Amino acid sequence: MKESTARRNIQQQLQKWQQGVVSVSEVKAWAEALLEADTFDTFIDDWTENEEFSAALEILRMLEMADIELLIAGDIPLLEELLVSPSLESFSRTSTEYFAKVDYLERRAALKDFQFYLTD
Amino acid sequence: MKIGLTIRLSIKKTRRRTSLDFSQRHREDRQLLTRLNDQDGKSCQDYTRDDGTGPYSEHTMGEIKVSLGAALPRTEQFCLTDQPSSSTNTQYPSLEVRSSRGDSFFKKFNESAYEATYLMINGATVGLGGWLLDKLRLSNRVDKDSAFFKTGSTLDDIIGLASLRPSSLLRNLGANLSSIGLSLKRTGFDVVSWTRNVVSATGLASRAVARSTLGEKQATAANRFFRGATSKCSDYEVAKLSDGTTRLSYFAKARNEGYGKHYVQIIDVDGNVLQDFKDTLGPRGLLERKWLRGGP
Repeated sequence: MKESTARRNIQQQLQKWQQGVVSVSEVKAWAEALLEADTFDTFIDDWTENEEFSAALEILRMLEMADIELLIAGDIPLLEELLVSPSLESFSRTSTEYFAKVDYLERRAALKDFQFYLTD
Repeated sequence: MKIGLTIRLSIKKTRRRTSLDFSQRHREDRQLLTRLNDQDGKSCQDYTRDDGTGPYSEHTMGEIKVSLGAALPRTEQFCLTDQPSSSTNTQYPSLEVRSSRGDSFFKKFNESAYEATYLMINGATVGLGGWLLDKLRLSNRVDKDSAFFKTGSTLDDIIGLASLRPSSLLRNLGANLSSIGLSLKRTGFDVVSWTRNVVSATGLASRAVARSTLGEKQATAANRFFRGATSKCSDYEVAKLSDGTTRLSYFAKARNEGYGKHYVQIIDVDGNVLQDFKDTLGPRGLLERKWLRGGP
């Protein structure tokens, strides 16, 4: 797997989130700002043409949707694992297996008092 | 009643209709409409269902009332509502239906329909076309054994197709098929060819297919837009609008049921981006529209 500055930058941001240096809303805002710039010219460097896959892009999009995906700090290890996925197939398998175990009703209930999350 | 009908289908028989019960869905919707009418004592032009989904609008055609969902927020529906009605119903991918009746069911229906409802109309059109083929004893060319064409409640099935919520069609069922393809799949067929001059919105199977429907300059812009989609995105659409512009869009469904983001770009014939926005959608509809370019 080739060295990716994008993946490393995202990992650093995830670590800041885990350490409480930044909040989930700041992580989302950071991802959004990157995505709204011309991400491919300025950020994404792990794109594989044959698979049309970039782990960095996939994670950025997940972070962009953190409020509606109900992403929490407990998901960070998974995001870090996904970030080093060598292929779309392994990325999809790992994320599907993980999120299939998430009880979203329970998570909605737990997060309903946090203004950031959309749980209605 | 004599009806002149020209119908051209580019399809092949593949399998029978799946188990989805359109009639049941329609009955549910109709019950809800009746209840709402009783409660309010007024015509339900726009309403929200008990489960919070919607808004929906009710269209009346003779004695038939059809509930149609609005997949897109009203502010976005301008895209196709100003199209001449003659161009909205006569040219679909692989399907052309014309009725000799001047003031036809289709025309009336389409004239009052919003963009989001065209997908339903596709379904209704195909369903009615199949029903007529059966009545005209031409259905040996298609799938005569299909339960869809044999059922005594075929018209109910047609309306059932039309009352399917756009979100169901677009997001849950239509990820790998176009709307018209989906309708045909449901009735036992597979689409084998496409026309490219699609006027109404068309769900596309992938980024690659979406890009392939455009000319060179627009394809470059579409490449740039669609490559921002991830592996879990779906409902890639290329819609040529009546003013010559083209709308590109795709949908990212959240794992948190009922939520998602809809990414939209409108480009001109040279591929210049005129509008760029993303909608955050929830179970109750539009939560937020964020304009990136060309906003009000």
